[in-house]
Amino acid sequence: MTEHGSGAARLVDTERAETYLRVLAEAELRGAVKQRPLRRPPWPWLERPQRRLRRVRPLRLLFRRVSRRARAVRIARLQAERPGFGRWLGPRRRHRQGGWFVSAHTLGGRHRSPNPTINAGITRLAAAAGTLVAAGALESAAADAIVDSYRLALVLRRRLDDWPFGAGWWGSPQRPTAGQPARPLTAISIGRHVPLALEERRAEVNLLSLVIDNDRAVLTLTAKPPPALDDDQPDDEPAEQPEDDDDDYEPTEFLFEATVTDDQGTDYDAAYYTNDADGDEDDDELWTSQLELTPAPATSARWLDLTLWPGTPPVRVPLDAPPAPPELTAEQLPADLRAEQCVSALAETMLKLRRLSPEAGPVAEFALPIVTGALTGAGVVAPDSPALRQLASLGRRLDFALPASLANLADTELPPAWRSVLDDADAADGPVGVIPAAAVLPDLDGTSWALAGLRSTAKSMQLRLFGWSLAGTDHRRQVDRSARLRETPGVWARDDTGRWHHAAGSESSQSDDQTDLTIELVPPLHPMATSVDLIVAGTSERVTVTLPLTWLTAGGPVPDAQVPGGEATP
Amino acid sequence: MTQWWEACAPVSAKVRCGSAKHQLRWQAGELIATDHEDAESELVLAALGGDEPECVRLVRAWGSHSDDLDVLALGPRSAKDKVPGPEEGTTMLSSGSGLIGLGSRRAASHPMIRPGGSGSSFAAVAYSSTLTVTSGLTVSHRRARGRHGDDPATQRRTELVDLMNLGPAFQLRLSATVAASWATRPAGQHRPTLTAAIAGRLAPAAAAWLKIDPDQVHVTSPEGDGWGELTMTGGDLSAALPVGWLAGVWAPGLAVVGGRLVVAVTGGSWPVLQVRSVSQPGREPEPGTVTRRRRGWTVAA
Repeated sequence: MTEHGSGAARLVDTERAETYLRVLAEAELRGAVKQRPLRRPPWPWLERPQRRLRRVRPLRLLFRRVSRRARAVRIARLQAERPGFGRWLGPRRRHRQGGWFVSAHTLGGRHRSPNPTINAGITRLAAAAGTLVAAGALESAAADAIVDSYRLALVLRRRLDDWPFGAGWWGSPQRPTAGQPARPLTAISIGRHVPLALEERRAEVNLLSLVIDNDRAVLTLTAKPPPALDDDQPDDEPAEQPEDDDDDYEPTEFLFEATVTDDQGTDYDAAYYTNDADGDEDDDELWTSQLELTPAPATSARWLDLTLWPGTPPVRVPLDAPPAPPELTAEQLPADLRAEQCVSALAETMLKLRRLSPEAGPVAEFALPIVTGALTGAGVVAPDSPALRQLASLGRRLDFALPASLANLADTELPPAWRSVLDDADAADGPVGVIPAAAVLPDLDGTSWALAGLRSTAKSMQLRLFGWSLAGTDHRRQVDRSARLRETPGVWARDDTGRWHHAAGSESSQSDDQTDLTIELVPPLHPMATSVDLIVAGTSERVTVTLPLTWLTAGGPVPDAQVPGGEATP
Repeated sequence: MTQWWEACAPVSAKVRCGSAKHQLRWQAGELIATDHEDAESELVLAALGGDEPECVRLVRAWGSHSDDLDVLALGPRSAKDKVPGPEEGTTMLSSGSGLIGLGSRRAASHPMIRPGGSGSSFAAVAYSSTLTVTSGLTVSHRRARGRHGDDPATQRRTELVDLMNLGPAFQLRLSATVAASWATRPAGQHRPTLTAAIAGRLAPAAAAWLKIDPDQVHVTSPEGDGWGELTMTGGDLSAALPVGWLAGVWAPGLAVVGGRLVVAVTGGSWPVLQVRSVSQPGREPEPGTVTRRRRGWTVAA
């Protein structure tokens, strides 16, 4: 993606990069030992329940499903007992941090609370390690070993209690993932608009895509829920929402009734989840909705019959003859472009923060000196390289406080992609609609990604991505995440009018080895665009998906030319 | 040129070995189980599946870690950098008068001992690994208690922690042993590790010597067989010292004596040594004599 930078990175000196990281670890350790050691717990037995909870983590998926089912049963009982109550209740996917039980941490007690200074040092080292790995200057295993060794040095000095997964894996070879997919990821575009008559109310559902892995299938959809039933209110006034549990407000309980069978007579457990409990701010459409089907359909299954509401005709989803996937191109990033990707990731962060807040955010200030310091310290890029000058120019244009190493660099012309997103930053002319995009991307950094839907609004574009990590165990990925320049793959897009789009935000939900991701890109699609290139980049590879803008309408997908700049359903 | 261990005083520690307390003694660069007259035979028996006494196990571990660079990555960087051995409640006497470790059960909960992954045998392994200094468990008992006993990585780590638990004096000597072994062989792919090991230990010493920030100390690999090079540029110190400096100078606590940075030990034996030291960066080293006193090394009159 030469539009992103200058390609001015130098050949990489691995020994210099490793020396830089190890010396940085020494500097961090000097700072860490100035902190007070952790006190030992006065009640060592308190640690036991904490660890017991950790031990049950492999059962978490089961636990999650059981708890959701129990919640659904409770809601059903409440609905039966109190007519009118619970219309808005339902399981709601919650964000998890690092995939850990919160209770497992709280049981640890205050005496184990991590020192912020210690944690900041670990994060700095991990960020520098991730930068050098991303830049191709250091092997991931070598970087991990340095970070792990640093953490163990802290543990020995009682500056760090422990890392969440124990010290046993330190120095040991990476173990294979227990649950590697037994079948390849499959993504099938469905593209069906389903109007529903729920008693006297009408609802609409757009079935987008179906992603199947080895133990579940996820059907992405958008839904326009039925208007609320409230006899005491006029039809043109919105119904009151329950005040006692607004956290669980969800207007699409009708999707709890969905049932799924296949041609072999298998009944599937269909669990409905959404992140849009309150609907979109512009309308009442629920975008990030999905039905999770368990078990995953057998490879021999030819179709699924999806009944969204009792009594309505089923929607047949063919599995054996899916539509052709969009065009994909994958390429390895040469060493100089890998370094450039790091700079591009920083630029992405700066653009994102600038959009979130008119003032520079602390993350960028934090990341800038670390990443640029690692790149220059390890000799990956020259201190006055064009790539860094571009970054400095972007920082000035966005009014960021730059570290001294960047502040002294002269201005230069920005790459076309950066210029484009800056020029169109305030655009609000995007077409409104959804596209049942479905594609399985080649592995990026050990993670398989499946694209499962695109939504365009006047102000942005959103992608649904489902990830399955193939690399390492859960705790290994925990380190990887902290060491990476960014947790999600870098996503840029360019529509065929030449307008660029950068990732401005994301929402993710993670379980043991699966990640459900929604990425928002801005500015919006150009109203005259007919296709868009989605560029998903890992540290060493980049995939481009060329997606025709075939909007889903009531009659099925139609090319964009038939709804120019117009509004597709719902 | 003197042997590196000439600058280090002998030290000893008491460890529980079976039902008895035995003495481990370090002297002349070697760890000796003084209460096991025929330790070599016991090692052979252990290799054949017999029980391995704790003393013998530690001696064997010392030998197997004598060139382990993880020792430099985890071990102390300076006298102020404490790598705790046995937990509080343990009686520790200084090296000059022997070291007796009376570890407490709380030592068993040292967090780093926990094996990762399954965690199912955490308690067993933690118990067995941290009590090596104090409990005298035999290898066969360990294997019975902890399923991780067969994992080489875990065994190696456990051994390393056991050696660290012998206390600061042993930590320094183990670090010196490792540095000395790498001083006589090509650094190869381990050059970054060795450079960082020197940087981490020289920085606090040089900061105290020159009254600068430790981050202003930059270390590179030396070229040639000389003592190295020290130059001051814009307030920053650039240093190129050989790995042998860690063994012969840093580990005995000789880095800065009398306001001078010692760069080499040229003769003598503990507690009186002939050294070469520099008063300022850029100057050539000058010979001198240092003597170990109660408060540390001092320049002999």
